[in-house]
Parts: sequence; C-alpha cells; structure tokens
Amino acid sequence: VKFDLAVTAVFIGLVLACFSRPHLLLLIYIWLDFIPYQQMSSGYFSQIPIALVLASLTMVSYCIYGRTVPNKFHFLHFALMVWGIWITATTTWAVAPEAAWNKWDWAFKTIAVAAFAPLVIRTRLHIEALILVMLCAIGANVFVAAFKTMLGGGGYNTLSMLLKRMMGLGESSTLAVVAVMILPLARFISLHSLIVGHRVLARLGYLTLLVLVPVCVVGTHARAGLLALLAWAGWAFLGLKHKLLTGSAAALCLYLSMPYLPSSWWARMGTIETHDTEASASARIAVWLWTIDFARANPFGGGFSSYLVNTVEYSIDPSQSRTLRGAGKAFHSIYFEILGEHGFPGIAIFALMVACFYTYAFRTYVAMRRSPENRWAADLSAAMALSMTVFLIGGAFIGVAFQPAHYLLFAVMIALRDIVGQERVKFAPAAVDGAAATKGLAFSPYVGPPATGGDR
Amino acid sequence: MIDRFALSIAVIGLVFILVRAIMLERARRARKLDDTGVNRS
Repeated sequence: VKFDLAVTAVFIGLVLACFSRPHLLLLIYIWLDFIPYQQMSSGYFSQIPIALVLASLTMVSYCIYGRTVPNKFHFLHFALMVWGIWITATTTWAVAPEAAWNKWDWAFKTIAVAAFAPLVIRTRLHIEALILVMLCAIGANVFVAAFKTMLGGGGYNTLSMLLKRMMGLGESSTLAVVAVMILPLARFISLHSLIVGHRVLARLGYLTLLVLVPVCVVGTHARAGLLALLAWAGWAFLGLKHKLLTGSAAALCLYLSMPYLPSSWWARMGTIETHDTEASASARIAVWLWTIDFARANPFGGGFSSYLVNTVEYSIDPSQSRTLRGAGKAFHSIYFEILGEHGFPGIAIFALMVACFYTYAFRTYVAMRRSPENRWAADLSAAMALSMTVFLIGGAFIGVAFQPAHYLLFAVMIALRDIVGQERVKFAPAAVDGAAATKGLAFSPYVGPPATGGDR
Repeated sequence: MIDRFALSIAVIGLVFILVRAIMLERARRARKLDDTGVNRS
C-alpha cells in the first residue's frame, strides 16, 4: 500500500506538471503501456482505470494546448489510419467474435496511440523523450529478466519476469524480441541525447543494455530472441568502424560466456535445426499451412483470434509415424497472424506501412547524413530501420503484430519525417554558422541547441 | 525485491525524463522559439 501511495503521488505530480504538454502526458500513457502498474498492484491502484484517465487527460490537454501547427500529410500516417479502420472492419465478420472484440479492444488502442502520437510529437526533443520513455520502461522489464537469469532463474516459461501476466512484455518471446529492438535506439541516445545531458551517463546506459539484453534473451529461452539478436549483431557489425577489433572482442566475450549458458538453452536452440522433431515448431508449421488454406477460403480475413477455429495435425518425428492433433493453435508469426486475421488486404496494408517506413528512413538518412548538424536525424532513421528489421525477423516466429513497440516506431518515423520534411530544415545547417541566425533558425530543434546554450 | 527495485528505477527514470524535457522546453521558450523552432519575435 505504501508503494501504491508513492506511485500515486508521483503520477498525480507528473500529470499536474505535464497537463499543459499533451506530448508528455502521452509519454506517461506509453510508459504505463509497457509497465501496466495497475495490473501489478495488489492494492487500490488496481481499481483505478489509470490508462483511461490518462488517455482522457491527454485528449483534453491536446484540445486546449496541442493544436498549434498542422502536420503535413504523410502516407504512412494515412496508411496507419486505414489499418485501424481495416482491423475494425474484419472484426465485424470475425469467426470468433467474442475473442476478436477482446483483442480489438487493445489492438485498436495501440494503433490509435501510434496515429495520435505524431500530432503531439513535434520536435527533436519530443522524439527523444519518447524513445527514452520506451528505453526506460522496456529496460526495467529487461533488467528483471536478466538479473533473475544471472541468479539462475532462467528457463522457458519458468523465468519470473516483471509482468506476471502472459501478455505484452510478460510473454517471454515478446520480451526477448522487444529487448533486442531497443538496442539500436539506446545507441542513438548514447550518441545524440540532449535530455540525458551527460554523454558518459548515456553511454553507460547503452553499455548496460548491451550486457543485459543478451542475458535476458538467454534467460527467456526464446528462439525468436536469438534470431533477433543475430540480426541485430549482423547489421551492427556492418556499421562498425573497427570491424576487426570490435568483432574480435565480441567473439572473445561470446567464447568466454559459452560455459555459462545453461544446457536447457542449448537444447531449446537446437530445435531450430530439428524443427520437424519438436512439438512446438512442428505445430507452428502446421498452423502456418492451415492459415494459408484459411486465407484462401476467407480472403478478407477471419477477424482477430481466428486461429481459435483451427484443428491441425502435426508430426514430431521425421518418419511421420507419430502424429499429434491440436485445436486453437496460435499463429506464432506476425505475417500469418495478419494473413489469418485480416486477410490479403490486411497483409498488403501492413506491407505498405513497412515499405513506407523503410522509404522514409532511407530518404531521411540520405538527406541528413552529410550535415553534421542534422546527423542526429540520419542516425535516428538508421537506428529505427535496424530496430524494425529486428522486429520483422523476430516477429516471423511470434504473434506480436499488435504489440506497441513497432507501432511507436511508425509514429516516431512520421514525426521525424514531419520535422525533416519541412522547408526550413534546408536552411538549418547554415543557421549554425550564424548566417541564418537572424532568421530565427540558430536554435532550431532540428539542429539542436548551441554548444554554449543551457539546453545541454 | 528485484521487481520492486526495477519498478522504482523505471518510475525515477520517467520522472527524470519528463522533468528534463520540461526544463529544456522552458529554456527554448525563453528564447522565444515555438514548438517547431521558429522565432516568434
């Protein structure tokens, strides 16, 4: 109860301090999305509909204070809204209506928050605050999982994580993939943070995550996590300046840590290669084949949780002499989840959003990389592209198509595009050398505050 | 115990981020710049 009281006091203080800043209220909401304290509390806090209260306050604050400069049109933003409408439409003809509306309830909120965020996230500072809140909230989940793994508590479905319910980051595979997703964002913060202020502190935070995230991935025993980690390591290696030195150091660390990896982890990772003899992997492939047939029969999708109607048979030995039958087997892949739930139009819209995301990232990177003042935008777009790639690879083996992490990446990318796409950013580099200072661009948030300014 | 510690750190982190963001925004407003970085004066 004392902890509840302390948290309540902190939240009331924060809401009062941030009421005139809708973007900061949104950040509190996002924090609660990753750490739903109302579900963790056993006291009175669990009775408060805190997410609803915060969402309402954010909307009220936005209506009063938020509507200043209108956003430019961005196709990704439009596609995100179409996506929200389409998932609502497919829910109306869902094959499992009750479960479908239950999932729609939180999935739609995730998309609504992502579509709303670019309206209030309008500057570099806002973007950075959002990323830091993600790092802080997800990092707390990673810390608990990693620390308990180091104390010997790791294991598939046996690791006690911060969230006890099997939802969101309380699900081990989801946590493993999302943990890897934040590594590129943490690196961006370590390079360009204005809010953290001290470069050493930002780098220390990144190094801590570099240690904790692999431990967390091992602790969850999630195969998707390992694939995500390999994807991140491969891409990050390509971007290294000192490939030989850093690669050798990483290889040495890996070699030294191998004896400490539990045998249960090796056994589970071994099933990636021998998927035809492992029940979970075999069931997955059977469900994917079922989904393709289901989508052919229902091209507009079967609505959320349509997997509940499946009955699949799968073999757990290569000779196919031993067959198991399972009903209501989950999709275990974002692609098949979307295909089965929202049909071919759904997968097309999602693919369009991802393609738009990468296009925006590429164009921002190319436009900004040569400008030292706008280098942060180039690095951020590269970090988000890597983060999305990690999600798309890890998500191929878990059904997390409606978890908030990648939707926030969409939101940040729209906000970033809005910032760098504006006409005046073209003049921003000149502002630094004073040529455009008289035009009021010298302290532009695009280029960051001056070195002598109080912002740093 | 670990859960409570991590939760406390996360709450402190959130407070730090929001307070720093407010401070930096105030500093920016003191220079009469609007949300998109354009000088109002």
